[in-house]
This record gives sequence, C-alpha cells and structure tokens, in this order.
Amino acid sequence: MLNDPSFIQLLKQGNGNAFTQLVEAYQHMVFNTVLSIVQQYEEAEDVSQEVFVQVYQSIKYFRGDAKLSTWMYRIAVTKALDWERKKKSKKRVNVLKNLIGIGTKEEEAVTDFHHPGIELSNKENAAVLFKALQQLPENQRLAFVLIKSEGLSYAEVSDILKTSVKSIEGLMHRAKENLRNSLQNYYSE
Amino acid sequence: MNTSIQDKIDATLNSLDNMRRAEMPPFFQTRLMARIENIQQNNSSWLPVRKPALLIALLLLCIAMNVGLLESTLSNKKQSEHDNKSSIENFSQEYNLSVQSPY
Repeated sequence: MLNDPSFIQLLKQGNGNAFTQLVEAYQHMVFNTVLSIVQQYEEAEDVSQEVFVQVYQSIKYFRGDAKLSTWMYRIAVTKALDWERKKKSKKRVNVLKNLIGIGTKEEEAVTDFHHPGIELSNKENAAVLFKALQQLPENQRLAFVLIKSEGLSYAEVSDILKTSVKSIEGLMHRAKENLRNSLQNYYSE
Repeated sequence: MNTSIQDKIDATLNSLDNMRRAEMPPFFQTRLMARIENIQQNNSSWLPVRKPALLIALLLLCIAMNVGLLESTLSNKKQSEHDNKSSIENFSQEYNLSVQSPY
C-alpha cells in the first residue's frame, strides 16, 4: 500500500494524512537504523526527525525507481553519517581550541552503547561489538549494521548502497575479518 | 586460553543475532510535526537571509559602502570649491581686474 503510486502521489501533493501514515509505518525502521549507526539514543531521535523532514521536503523528487523503504533507508544512512562527520569535525575544532587555549574543556563521557533490542544475555558482548564497529571503514560498517541490525538481505542492502550483491558479500567478509582482528586485540589485553 | 578467546570473539560477533528493532520514543510524531511547522514558518519569514553571520557581513558591507560614498562626496565638494575659487582668481589676474572698495 505504501508503495502504491496513488499513495506516493498523495505524499507529493503534501497530503498530511498520507505523511502521518508514512511516519507511522517507517518510524521504527528509521530510528533503529540511525541508532545503530550513531549509537546515542537522544541523538538518534533528533537525526530521525531530520530524516523525516528531508523526506517531507524531497518527496516531490522521488521518482519511484526504488522502493519507498529503500529510498528512506538511503536518507537515514546519509543523515546518520552526516551527523557523525559533524561530530568528528566539532571534536577536531575543540582539540585545536584547547591546544591554543581558547577552548572550553568539554570532556565527552565515553560510555558503552547498549542497544535496547539486544537480549539481556548478549548485552555485554553487543556493547563490545558496537564499540569495535566504530573502527570499521564506513561502507563495511553500513553493510554490517543493515544486515545484522535491520535484518536485511544482501540484495536489499545492495539496493540501498547502490552496489552489487557481490560487493556487499565482499564488504561483509572484510567487516567480519576486521572485527575479528579488533576483538582479538581487545580480548588479548 | 586461545580457544577461550576464540569463543569470546565468536560469541561477540554473534551477539547481534536475533536482536529486536529499537522502537522510536513515544510522541515522536508530535515533535516531528512541530519541527516541520517551525521550518515552514521560518521559510515564510520576510527576511531572505537567515544566517546571522551573513546578515552581519551584509550590514557591514552596507555601512562601508555608505561611508565610502560620503567620503567621496565630501572630497568632490572640497575640490569643486577649490577649483571654483582658483578659477575666479585666475580670471581676475588675467584681465587685471581688482575690486576696489569705494569707501
């Protein structure tokens, strides 16, 4: 129903009820995807809002080449990565300011991220895995998160990341290898 | 020892299996609609420029242009007064004119 051309037409016309239905249907998908990337609960809600604002403003450009959910996954991933880049550049500016003595000493508390959807028995291990995920190259991390956290197939992830299934297989293989190495170091310490 | 580390690694790598989707906090829709409304109101504001830095830069540019214009007007006025005075003097010298007071 959400992929119906008539529904998409309503969205393009700015129909409020259609947009409410869209938010209702996709809010958890967007939140879970963003949360698994940014790994901060409050920030994930804020980024999710940005995703839906972008959807609201850009729906008129949606051509229907991909499924609506694929298009929304793309926006969610892009917004989450944008947030990460901004956070990193803010961190660099703060380091620089502190070096020349004009910065405010804002110390970020490093806390483990606990995803609310993880079983209690896996909580500690999952926190270690999420930390290790932050060390992975962007595309490997995205493939891993979308497959593991959202339960998507390789084909679906290849649509979202606009690449072939073969390269998603390669990304997953390298992601697991890198994670294994990183965990090896972590547990050997 | 090694096997135990390998087991830990395997357990960690598999720790996301069977995870549930995180759910959006309640009343998200309300907060989202308020944000969209706010954006729409800002978009319809009369001011075409909304970034404060850009506004300040435009204001400074405007002031600088006004000061420049004022300065050039004043210097032109002085120059024309000076030219006017010297041309009268030249004229009176050329024709050997001198104004003598009858008193």
